[in-house]
Amino acid sequence: MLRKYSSTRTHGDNVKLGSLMAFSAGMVNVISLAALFAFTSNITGHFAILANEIAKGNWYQAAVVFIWVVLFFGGNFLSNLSIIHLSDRIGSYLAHTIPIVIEMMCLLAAGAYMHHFYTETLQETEILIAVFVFAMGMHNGLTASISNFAIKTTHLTGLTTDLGILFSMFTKKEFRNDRSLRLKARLLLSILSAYILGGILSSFIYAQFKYYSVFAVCLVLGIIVIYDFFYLKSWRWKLNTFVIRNIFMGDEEKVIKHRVKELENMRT
Amino acid sequence: MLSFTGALIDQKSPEQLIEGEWKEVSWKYELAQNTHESGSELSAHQIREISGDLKIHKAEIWKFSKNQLSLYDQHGQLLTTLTYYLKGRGNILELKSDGISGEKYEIRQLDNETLELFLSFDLQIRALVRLTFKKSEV
Repeated sequence: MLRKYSSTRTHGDNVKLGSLMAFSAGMVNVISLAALFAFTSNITGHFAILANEIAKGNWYQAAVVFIWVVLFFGGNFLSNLSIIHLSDRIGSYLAHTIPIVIEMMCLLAAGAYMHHFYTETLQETEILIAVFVFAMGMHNGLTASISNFAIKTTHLTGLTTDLGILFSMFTKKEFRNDRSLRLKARLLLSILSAYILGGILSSFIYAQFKYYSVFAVCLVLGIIVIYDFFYLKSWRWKLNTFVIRNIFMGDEEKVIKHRVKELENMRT
Repeated sequence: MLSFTGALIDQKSPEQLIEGEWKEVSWKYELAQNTHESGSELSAHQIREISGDLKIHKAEIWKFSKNQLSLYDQHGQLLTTLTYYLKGRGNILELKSDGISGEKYEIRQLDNETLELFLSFDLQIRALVRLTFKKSEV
């Protein structure tokens, strides 16, 4: 789900990653709205607010919103920076995991602060929103980058546009029969549903557990990280048992062929 | 970038702007697209339904100090004291009584002279209350 990059990703990889990431982004957006009264997973609205505050001459508010926008940009920048510069050195899994780990750290820090120290001053609120926005930048940058811009999970404007276009295309039989278009629609619908479900669930969790709900998002992100970790571990274990079994049976040619095949798979 | 940094240092934050004494100059109920003066076309029952539970609807003077909002009537009699918080980018005013979240207002305008608050309802009747205040001279 995490370790594969760009064109080597399957539809299943994208559905799994897209759904889980959208689910957690939906959770973050609802929690930040309930606790801090600001959307943090999308910044289209913030651009409109920025323009409006500038027009009204509210320079303090404009500056605050501008910083949030820059932090979202910075999150995307750092996320892709980690992917393109570290993949060759430390492997794609670790390079792709770093943005999620940083995002989890941001959310954990924000959640812990909100629970223990938050006195609801405006400065605290603005800084917490900034942390959430940066985390969402990392989040979106990762999914967009490793899926070759096929998935964006923190906002649904582009996704809804794509769905509208796809469904209008499905009014013609030739497009309905196109498997790639059907898969694309399925992927987008799964992201959309996951985002909404995440939002609904976090709304209930927030009502019950208040700021602890941020930790639930970290749990979902942790599942994404751990899933690939155990997948890789089990895959290596399977490979090793295959090699040992065939060496004992004297079928070294089969082992070599299998090794070459696996190495090719690893390279992709 | 520099000008925004300058604005952060130089300009007053909403928390600083809101502190002080504000005198209510108008209270309007807006229903759908039309604006109705208090008690004009809205029935008394509708207004009671909208404002009955509001903690602030009888207050004439709002005095904001650090995290505390004191509400006074027109004779200067203290009605109640609430805790207030600014949220979002300073565009939401949240009032709490005994730690329990109560009303939330959208701050439409806040400068050295004017404070304009919106409280929206989406119950059986779609309406909102627009409160305008002028800062009292100290």
